[in-house]
Amino acid sequence: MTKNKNYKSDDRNLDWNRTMEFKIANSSRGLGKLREFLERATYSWNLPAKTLLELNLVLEELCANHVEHSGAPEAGYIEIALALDDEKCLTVTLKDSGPPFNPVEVPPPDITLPIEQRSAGGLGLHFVRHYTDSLTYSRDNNKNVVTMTKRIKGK
Amino acid sequence: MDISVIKKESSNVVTITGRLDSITSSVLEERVSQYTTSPEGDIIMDFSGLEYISSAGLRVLLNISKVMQKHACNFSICNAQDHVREVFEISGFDMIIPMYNSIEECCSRGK
Repeated sequence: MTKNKNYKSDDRNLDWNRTMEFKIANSSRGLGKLREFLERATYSWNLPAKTLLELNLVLEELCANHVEHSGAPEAGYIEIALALDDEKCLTVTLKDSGPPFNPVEVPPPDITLPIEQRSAGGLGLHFVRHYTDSLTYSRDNNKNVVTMTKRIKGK
Repeated sequence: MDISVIKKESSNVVTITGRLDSITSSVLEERVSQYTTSPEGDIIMDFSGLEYISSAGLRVLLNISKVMQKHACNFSICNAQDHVREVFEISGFDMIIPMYNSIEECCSRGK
């Protein structure tokens, strides 16, 4: 019983810090670090495994887009902030200093086309939209700022 | 990510373990190219050990699928885990690459 109690209080301590900020290099090496950071956040906040997979996909797609299109891959970082509120809603903010790019304006792909006409273009943002509840963009101090919210289901 | 290839009847069974993402997708592309440049049989991918896939992985699978179709060979996937199957459904890829619940089901298709 005592053990259980201790476990509970540990859990609460871990949940206490509900914001996390990190940055990854604007390169494929940086992309490799993404999962490590996310695992740390989702573990300490006790988020469901499915949430980690979805969050990983959303952030990989946005960051990979940026690494591919930003033009100066050796320079710069992508800043990522995660915040979890009491209503189990996660807010994710991405900032980068690349050229202006508004993901909200990218048209959704036609996922009903036959194979010959299909391309993988636009699929990444399709996943981002699917796995988030809101997606907004602003250009702030020469930086792209993408903000998403995601309600945590299950727990 | 680990990739292994074994021959089963007239198919090459490619088993992928781990993650198929922006970092690893080019490794799969290169590893499978010997079976797609002038294919001598079908390709079956066993996804039982695949934990995660992103659009970079789907891009490689789409290219494989197109090449195989051009050569009148089959390309199919089996044993996808729930999350991976969901990504296929969201992107409509489950409509362009046949998915099965087992290798046996894959092999017996069309016979």
